[in-house]
Amino acid sequence: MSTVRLSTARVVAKLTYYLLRLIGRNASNLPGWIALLICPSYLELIAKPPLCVAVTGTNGKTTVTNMIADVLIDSGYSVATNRIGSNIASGIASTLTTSVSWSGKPNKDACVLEVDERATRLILPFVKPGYLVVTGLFRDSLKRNAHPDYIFDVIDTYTPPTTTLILNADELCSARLGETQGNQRVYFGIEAMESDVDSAVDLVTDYSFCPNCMTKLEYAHLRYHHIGRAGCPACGFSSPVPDYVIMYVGSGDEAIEVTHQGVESSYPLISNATFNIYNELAAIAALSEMGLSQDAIAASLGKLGTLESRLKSTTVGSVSVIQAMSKGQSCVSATRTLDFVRTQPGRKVVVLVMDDWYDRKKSVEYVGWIYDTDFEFLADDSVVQVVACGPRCYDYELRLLLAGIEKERILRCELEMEAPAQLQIDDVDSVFVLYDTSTIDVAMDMKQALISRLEARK
Amino acid sequence: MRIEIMYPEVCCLYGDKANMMYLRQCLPNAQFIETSLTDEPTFVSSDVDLVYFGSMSEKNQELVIDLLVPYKDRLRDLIQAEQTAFLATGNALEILGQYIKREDGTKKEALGVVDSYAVRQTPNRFNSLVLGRFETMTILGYTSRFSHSYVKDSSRCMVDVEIGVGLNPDTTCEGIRQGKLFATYLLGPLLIANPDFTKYLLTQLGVQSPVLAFEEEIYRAYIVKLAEYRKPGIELE
Ligand SMILES: [Zn+2]
Repeated sequence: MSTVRLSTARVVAKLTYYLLRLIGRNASNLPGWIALLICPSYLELIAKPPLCVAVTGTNGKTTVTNMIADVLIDSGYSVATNRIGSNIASGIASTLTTSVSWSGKPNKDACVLEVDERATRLILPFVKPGYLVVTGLFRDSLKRNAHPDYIFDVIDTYTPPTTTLILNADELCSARLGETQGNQRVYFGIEAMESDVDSAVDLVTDYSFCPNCMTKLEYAHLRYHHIGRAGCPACGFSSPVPDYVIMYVGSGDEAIEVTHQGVESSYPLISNATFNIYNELAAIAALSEMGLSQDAIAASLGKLGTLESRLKSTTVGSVSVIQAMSKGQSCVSATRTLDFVRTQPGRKVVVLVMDDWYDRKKSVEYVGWIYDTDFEFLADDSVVQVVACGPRCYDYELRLLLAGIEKERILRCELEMEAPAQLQIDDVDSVFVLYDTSTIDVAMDMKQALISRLEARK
Repeated sequence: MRIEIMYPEVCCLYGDKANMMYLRQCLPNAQFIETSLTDEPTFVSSDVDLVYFGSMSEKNQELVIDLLVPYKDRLRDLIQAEQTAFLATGNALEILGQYIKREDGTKKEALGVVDSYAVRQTPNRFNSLVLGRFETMTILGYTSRFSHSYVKDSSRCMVDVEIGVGLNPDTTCEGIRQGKLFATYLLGPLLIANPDFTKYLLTQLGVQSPVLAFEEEIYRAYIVKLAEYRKPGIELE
């Protein structure tokens, strides 16, 4: 019976896939959704390619998934991946549908799957990937993800014992995955960076205490939040020893030296943002474990180009208008963006367009996360104005005042599109528009209106 | 004035740290004591005016209960004496109750200083906007949790809910109020979202005619939000 269901599901899913493609529609979700409807065990029963790697974590999973897939493809592998598709069960089912023939035989060498953290429960026990890369676990949307302890439990419970875990040694929550089940674990980490800080700079520092004796952890090297090399002064607990380690990253470096089993290898640095160095290192560790040579990985990474393209910058006269993605409801993502903004040169205006687009229509967005976000970074002389936009602008105004930003530097615009005409452009070098994935359209419109205003001034 | 913030390294989820961040601005001369997991709580051996507990993970609820069990008689005495104020936000409410029933049916005995018990239902997450009356005030906020609580004596309710739900889906009773103890499932920036309640709390701490930090802005945000919560057909989750 299950064979009939599986065959039916596979054929219908493949037909749906080709039909959607034929009419130019997105085929990344529906084929898998239908397949799971016909055959609930589809993920378990469908044949998988010989090499199967899954990537999860709060941030960076798309970047790492793409890097691994791109390097594999460049090295001659045929790859099925959900890089543009959904990362829940239906998306994974769609992707796996594209990795088998009509008769159900695998026709790809590998699948590289980005998996939503919570959806690991419905995916990992059935897909049983050979490798699971976890970029790290941080606070995220409280509605869905609650807190990192919860996400840890979900991943830890549902990862098959046969899966090799590729883990971030410098993030103490996810670093402890697989401990109970005894999974094979491979760690990546960075020993020291020029940009390391002496003490906690961010409001949120989860995992500040020893899991064995509750003593406050001491960080030999601290980057941001709880990322770094930690140890307990009381009981000797410490961050795991990385199998793939970068000993030092300098600010202007264009390459990273990764040491594995005593051998140092060089790779081109794709981005010098700290979180992206971790993403690249995660991909290098995973690809090496899969058996790719250092030369092949380095050569393929060299062809990828930089990751900085998510910043879209337009300069009119002497003013640059820069759009920067800053995921709403995610204090870590927003804090990293604010940190980036404060380190940019010149006099800046910062426009916040991070209200959830769906909540505003039918509900009142809960914005407690802004109190876990370091808006204090904007209390800097180089930030001449902060513009709080959207229905929650009154809440942002209070947050900014509590962050020590003077009243005179704050502009409220309940209607976003009023901001381009009202914000300060005199004596300003750059305007940063920080937007959420759901406000990308309005952020684009605002940027356009601002560019028009700047052009009219010329 | 002395304010004790309990275990800030774990009782700090969901933006709850906003409350003490704001209170520091309202009470610039108060002493704020942050008690770590390895410290003996200050309230055990000396007087404090307010003890604050914020939201934590379910795992850390059990850790915090274990740490506080040796002091539960002292806690009960302080609550009954009504000298010290207590504020608990989010699931900190549950550690004060009789027990927490886990997903597998086993029970974690809690501090037993208030007459409630909690039942976890992870992975079902419960989210809701909440608006209700507390004395003559309107309180608004948000709850997001894996559990519900149940009380025998509904006269101990803190907020009578008009919009959203209370301690569990079958009651309009939200939170527990016992003398100067205020425990509510509402989480995050409660004191910033509710200026009337914050003033009330300050008077409970002995502040005569309290003035709030950023009072104009905070009332403006409150009034805007009150109107939004009352919009017909609003989605609560
Ligand atoms: Zn220790």
